Amino acid sequence: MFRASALAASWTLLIFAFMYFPVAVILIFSLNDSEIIAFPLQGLTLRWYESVVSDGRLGGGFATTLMVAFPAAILSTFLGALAALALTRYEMKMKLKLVFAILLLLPFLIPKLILAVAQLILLSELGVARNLVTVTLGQVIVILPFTTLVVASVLVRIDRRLEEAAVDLGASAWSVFRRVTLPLMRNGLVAAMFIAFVLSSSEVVLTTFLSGRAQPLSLLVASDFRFAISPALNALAVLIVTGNIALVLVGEAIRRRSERGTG
Amino acid sequence: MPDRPPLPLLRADALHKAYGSYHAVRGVDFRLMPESYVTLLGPSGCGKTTMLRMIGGFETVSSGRLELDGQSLLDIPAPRRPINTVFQSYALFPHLTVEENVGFGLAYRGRAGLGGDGRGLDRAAMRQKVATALSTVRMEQMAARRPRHLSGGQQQRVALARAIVNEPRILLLDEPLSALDRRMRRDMQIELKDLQRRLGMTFLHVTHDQEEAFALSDHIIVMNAGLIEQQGAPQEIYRRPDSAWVADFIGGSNVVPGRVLALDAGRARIGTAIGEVTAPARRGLAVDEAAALCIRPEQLSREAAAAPGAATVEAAVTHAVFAGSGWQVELRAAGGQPLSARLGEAPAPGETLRLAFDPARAWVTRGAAAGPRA
Repeated sequence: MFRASALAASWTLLIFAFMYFPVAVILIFSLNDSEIIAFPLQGLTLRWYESVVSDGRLGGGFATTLMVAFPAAILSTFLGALAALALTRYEMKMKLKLVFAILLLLPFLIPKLILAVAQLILLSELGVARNLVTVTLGQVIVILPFTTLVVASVLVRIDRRLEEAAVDLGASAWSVFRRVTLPLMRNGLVAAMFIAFVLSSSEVVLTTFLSGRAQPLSLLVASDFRFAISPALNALAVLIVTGNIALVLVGEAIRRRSERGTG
Repeated sequence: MPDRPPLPLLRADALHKAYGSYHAVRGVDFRLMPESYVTLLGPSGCGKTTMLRMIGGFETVSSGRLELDGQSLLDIPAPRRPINTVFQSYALFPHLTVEENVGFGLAYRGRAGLGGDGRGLDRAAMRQKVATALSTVRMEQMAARRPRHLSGGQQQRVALARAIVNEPRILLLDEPLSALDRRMRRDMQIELKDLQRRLGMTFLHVTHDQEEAFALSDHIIVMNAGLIEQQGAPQEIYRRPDSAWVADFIGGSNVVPGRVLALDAGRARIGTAIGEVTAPARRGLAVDEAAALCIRPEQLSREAAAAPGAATVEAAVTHAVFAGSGWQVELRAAGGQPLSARLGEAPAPGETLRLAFDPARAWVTRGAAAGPRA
């Protein structure tokens, strides 16, 4: 028994090492006091972080990212909430519901490159210029399945009897939603918005094809990693990863709090 | 019942509910009298909750009639029925305080609906009503708390206050005590009954617990497989079960299967594994029909103590359990027929006893395999 679990533990560690070692390497080099990204390490420094924070070009990219990520997060959460309400609250035939769910989640399965190229072709056929609006709308399509699932996961946990109790006490459908369903799903909406924000800010493929001249941070990082690699890039990567993890953790904490509240 | 008021509050005729090919309620008739405490009693899946949900407006009625004060409820949506529900596990709004929970329905009072006067309530009147409802259930101290900070019994009280504050014509209670522990349950039974009397409201309570039904009800409706098996006063159902199924379900009785040998003026002679007995019988039995003899445990005694004219049965003791005021004794009679008796003294295990009972206090009813429902 003990042996088996020791074996299992080493195996698990090995897998985690495989998953996270590359990221760890980036973390290490972001603190390495050398222009050259190679071993042996030369000592500890924070200068790469300083250069990231003081870089105007990166700052502009970050601003562009926010200009896309905020509306994308809000729009995809709003639409995801509507879809989740339809999935969990509408009385539909099972088959119809299944078709609805599959159509909603299909963007998961279509390679983003294909989605991106398809949208690009459509936009140029329609003569629509690519800008922050087109990239935002394009991102919403791929983020929508996530926000739908996050909000739906909160909705299915809300005891249906709470809504029935509101009806029983005389509330109309709209009052039930406003006074019971919405307050109880609010944390799910916040969690979905955090996740949508992270997904939007780290989206590269769609952004590349749809953003036009604007250069959000993700594109700057992608192109710098190919053409202008420097330890500062490692520092930037660490900042982005940390920020994303923090956002998702906060979102998840909020969602869990809502579970305890309703359970 | 001669003193029955002429008009029922609620009236169900041939009420039927089907889900596709599954018939949850298969045509039932009943009346709810004003100011009565009625329980719908039956095992899970018997259709009792479906009945409650049809009355509350949460399920549509497949066919039949449902009338409140002579007015059909079928076209009235749930929010506009002057009926409120205490849900199983209470369904208190977790994001609202006790006070806000209780006041929830008052915002919709007075809307055009059954019993609505077209005017709403002002804030002060609402507050007053909430305070009164909370003090009725002795929860005024908890007004500012959230439901999750209350015990099960306290949540139960808030759920009651939230329903009664709207002064419904009928209060529906869906297994309201099932989430409480045994002791709490008994206390709440007394409180529920007391509350119903004080408010003079009609309570319709769904339960699968026979003791609960007997403790609370003026009238019990026993349901099985979507149909009413029997309805009447608790004593009537206890003493004169309409079928072996009812006798068995309400429990506490020895149900001995047999066959009707003869009928005479409200009495039947029944042949069973423990002998032939002539006892009062349910109406509508036929000679040679399958029937059952019901003998309650406390009616069985040791032969020495028996009155003249008593019937006797010989049985071997299998178990004896001390039950405070006496011994609950399980025995096995001829043909392997199990019997329960309540005896004053402990028998020896394996001992064969001669037990006696007064046939005039026994009851012959329809057998398990008889009747149109089998």
